[in-house]
Amino acid sequence: MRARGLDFADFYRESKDACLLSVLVSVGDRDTAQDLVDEAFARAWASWRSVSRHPAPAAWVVRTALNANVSRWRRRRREVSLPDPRTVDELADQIRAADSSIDPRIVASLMRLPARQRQVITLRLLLDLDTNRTAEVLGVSPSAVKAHLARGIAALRRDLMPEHQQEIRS
Amino acid sequence: MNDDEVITLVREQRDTVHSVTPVEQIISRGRARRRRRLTNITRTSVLGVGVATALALVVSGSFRPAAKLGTIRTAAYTLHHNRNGTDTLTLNPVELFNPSQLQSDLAQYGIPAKVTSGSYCTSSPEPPGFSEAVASPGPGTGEGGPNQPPPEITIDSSKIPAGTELSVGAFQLTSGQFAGSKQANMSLINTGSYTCSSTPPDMSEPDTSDGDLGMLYGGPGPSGS
Repeated sequence: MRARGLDFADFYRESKDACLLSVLVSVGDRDTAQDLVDEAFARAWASWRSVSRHPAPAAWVVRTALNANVSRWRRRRREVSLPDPRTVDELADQIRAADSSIDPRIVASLMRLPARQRQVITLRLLLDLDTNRTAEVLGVSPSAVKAHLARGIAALRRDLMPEHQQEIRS
Repeated sequence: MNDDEVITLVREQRDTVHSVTPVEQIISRGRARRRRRLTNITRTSVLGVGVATALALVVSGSFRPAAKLGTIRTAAYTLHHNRNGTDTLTLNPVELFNPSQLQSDLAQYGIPAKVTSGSYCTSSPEPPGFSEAVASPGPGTGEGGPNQPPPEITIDSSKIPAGTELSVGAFQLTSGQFAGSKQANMSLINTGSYTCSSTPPDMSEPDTSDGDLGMLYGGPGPSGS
């Protein structure tokens, strides 16, 4: 993704939907995700001179939004937790009610992934960062990114594949 | 289902979720955030350094937090954010503005605009609200002559109705009554529904409409006057 000399309005238009989806599959609530992403973009605008030089400004927005979510929970003196796997399907259905064309199975599968796999999937597949850039953003090695991506995709495939096909394959 | 199909399925979800917040609202929120940050910095400074030192800074003129809110100065215009939330655009009579630069700067100030040079875009009918969003009390605008002081336009971005943007068209006039002058026109247009013309709007007749603004500036004066 372009960074230097990037106009904020263009950046916002190009990346807002992917950022929203990236945050949505972590927090599991449409309104919360929208508010977090809006706030993160507002912070990006307020510091645009430095954010535009970030290796991946969209990843900066997603990370800022998720950090803000953590801060929000801390302020309320509650534990930071990911959505309960038992309620993930319910959350995905709620998300679908707000965005009628979204596939709740995929959202639910993404929400069920371990955090690191979901981060890598988000950066690589939703924000289109390459392996090296993803590694740079997460502070891990490129081989670790490849490993998390492969495991994440395998988990998604198992989750999304109809049961009878899994039986045939096994 | 193979890995490629999984990747495609995930990527397809990007087209199903749409953020509905307009960029103007984000910028407005960012501006409020920046203002709060500056206020906090100011408060911290005052507490840390002490009231006496702060007063000394104010007296010496080196302590001007309001100025940090931003004034953009280019060779062709100055864009200043006012304390009451409005923005003032002052055009330099000597130089015609770069449309993409002005459009970008207006966007940074939360003003949605389509800025063109050598053409001017309008919607028919014009969306209402222009006179609330744009004011130009100074001379040199409207029916004024080209040798008057620089045009100064005050814009209240909060009054620009949703679904509309400001159209700003600039012309360097090379023929006719005002040859040698610059002409700038402003109106509200419906975002995504407008037509553009390379013919400058006629400025020879007094304009009684409050739905747009025409400015002649920076020229030698009407021929024969």
